[in-house]
Amino acid sequence: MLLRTEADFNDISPELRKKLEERVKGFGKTVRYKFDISSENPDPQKHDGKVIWPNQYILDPATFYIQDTLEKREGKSKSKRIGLILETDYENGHLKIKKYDKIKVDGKYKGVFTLQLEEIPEHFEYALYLEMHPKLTGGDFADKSKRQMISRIDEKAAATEARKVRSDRKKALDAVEGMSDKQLIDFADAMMWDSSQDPNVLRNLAEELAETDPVYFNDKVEGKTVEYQAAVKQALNKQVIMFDPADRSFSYASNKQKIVILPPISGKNEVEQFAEWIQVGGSKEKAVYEQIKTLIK
Amino acid sequence: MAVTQGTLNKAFVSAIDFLDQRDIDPSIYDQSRDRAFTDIMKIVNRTKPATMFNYHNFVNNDVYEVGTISAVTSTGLAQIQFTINTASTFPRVGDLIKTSNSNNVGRQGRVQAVTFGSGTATLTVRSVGGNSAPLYATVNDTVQFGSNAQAEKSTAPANRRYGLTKYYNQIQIFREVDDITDVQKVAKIEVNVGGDYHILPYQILEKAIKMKGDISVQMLCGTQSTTSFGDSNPFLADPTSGLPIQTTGGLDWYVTTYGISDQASVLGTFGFTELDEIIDNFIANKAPTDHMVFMGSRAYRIISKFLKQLGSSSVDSRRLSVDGKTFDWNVEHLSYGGYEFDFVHVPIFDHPQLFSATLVADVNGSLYFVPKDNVDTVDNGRQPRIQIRYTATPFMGSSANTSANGMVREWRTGALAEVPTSSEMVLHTDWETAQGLECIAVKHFQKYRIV
Repeated sequence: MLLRTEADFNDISPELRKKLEERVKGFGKTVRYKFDISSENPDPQKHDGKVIWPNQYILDPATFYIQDTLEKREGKSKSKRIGLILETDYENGHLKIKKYDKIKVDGKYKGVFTLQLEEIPEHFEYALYLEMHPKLTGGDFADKSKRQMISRIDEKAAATEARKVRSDRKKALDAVEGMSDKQLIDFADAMMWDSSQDPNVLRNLAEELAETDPVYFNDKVEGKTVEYQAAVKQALNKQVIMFDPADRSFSYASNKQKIVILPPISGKNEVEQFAEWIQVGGSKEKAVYEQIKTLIK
Repeated sequence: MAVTQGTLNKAFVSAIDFLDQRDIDPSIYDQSRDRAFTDIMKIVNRTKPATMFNYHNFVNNDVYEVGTISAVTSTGLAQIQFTINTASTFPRVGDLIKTSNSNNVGRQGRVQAVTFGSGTATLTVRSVGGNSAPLYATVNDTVQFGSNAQAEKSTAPANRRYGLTKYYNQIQIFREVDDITDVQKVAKIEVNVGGDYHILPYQILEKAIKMKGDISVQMLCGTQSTTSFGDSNPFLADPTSGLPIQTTGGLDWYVTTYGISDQASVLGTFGFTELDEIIDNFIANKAPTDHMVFMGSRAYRIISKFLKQLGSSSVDSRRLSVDGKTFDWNVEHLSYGGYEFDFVHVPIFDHPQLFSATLVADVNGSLYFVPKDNVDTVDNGRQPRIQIRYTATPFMGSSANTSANGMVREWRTGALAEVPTSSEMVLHTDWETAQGLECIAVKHFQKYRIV
């Protein structure tokens, strides 16, 4: 056991050990740590690629101190010395650490250190050790004065994220496929595209958006956003309402009666802003919407 | 001065301006000792002309590769299957392998089939010893591909292509300058340099030491710039002209970028554990066995104390050789584990304004191992491991106001130069040199920090 308590090493509180063990178990069968040890290849011809790695990187410091805030045992200091212990010996009656293990990252793996948590017991302890290391990005014991050059590639989180992206994409593409031509035109208007294009062209545009930005697409089609934005765009196209960019106001085209003056600073365009004004508004705003809907029919 | 009466005493004479002599030692003493502290001749004493401002060398790749088992399909059989992590497509049908699995002692397998995945290779391996000698595999076992065996009337095994790795460094331009007016050039001073009682020789000596020191520092721990003279849009450029500036990577840059870089688990300690680790690092990189070890005093003291104060009682009687007058604690040579180490104390590591323990602690407290041999070329030629590369001087011909030693050029301008070049009454002296460091087969170099 590399992280066993020997001399003044690794005497961490049971609470901290349990917390770390649970965290590492939560990583699943494997966990990968990425070591930021590459540098740009100085060779102008980039003969060996754009980036180079040292032949072997050995993590330092090999031993370090942490502040174990969970330590409650009587007579125990909160300051803990951590190291991977390989061999011990007695010298003048005192136990002495004779040899430490070190984290060694081979250049051929391009800075990625893979740990088989269930198959190899030492790897589980490497993971516990790395979770306490001062150079771990976002680690509980990260030392901000040191360069945070280790980052954990959380396999479960990475897989969950990848699956979510895939399922969002599927959902978005399914939504495009299920859109009627009318819904497609509404969506095109809401996106400020030219909705008079051929339905196939519009469908292709919508599919592209669903494929490249499924989260945005799904947010857009879910709820009433598209409906409101489409109505506003169509009202503008049919000159039912007018937009005056000088004071950012919307008014009815027939009698020039002002409907609303939009705030000047916003990350959204005028159609999105006006639709949002209707969507979040009360009965007066809803009445405007009903009026517009009637006029564009 | 009027005539007065009384005893002639010291105060009377001292009151007359300029009458007293002054006892001034005319020598200038070298208290700064920068010349002694910046000499790196012990580390680099070879030079070689460069034809361009950057220089390249190729090293061959390892002939063998070691795989690590990442997944096991079947084990404990006369024919087993497992997957290894491999950065290349090294394994091939016909390879005879041995693995680190303790159950496979004395057993060998032949690779019967290989399927490559992304960064992996799945091997089907049949035991050479047949059913009575099954093979075992577990995750994290290592595999060597030591030999190959082919059948009668065999076809050729898959062809392997061995690549080359290129190392690159660049020449850096160093300059220094001195300016003096006509008045100060001839005004004499009380101290002299080589019998010359003017300020100019002293200034020139100081400048020469500084320039040599600048070169030494860069050769020892300079960082190679990402900008080179050929860049059309340089990052590191002269703010006025916009032209690129390039720097050379020094020994520390070479070792930390390409070589072995390690440190003691507990800084400040050095013992057999660390010594074993250093040798293991060399073995892992197939380094030669004879090394120079360059270091500063802090590191040298720790090593000497460890080697001469061996804790074991069995060696107490031969700790130190004392002749009654001299007590020598310096250890200059160590033979251990088949390796030879020559310890060399290099003062520049101790320079308090360059590499002190607080300024550049990692350089100050590290041992730099450089193989003593010349590195072989694959066709039996040889090159020094470490040498200074320098470009030819860009100056044309020779004239009375220029001089050079082959690497550093000095030229003098102004109205006071041997051949006046302007009407301004100054002597302007310039020094210029273009040099870089070249280390070859740096995989065999090691930096090991101990304090």
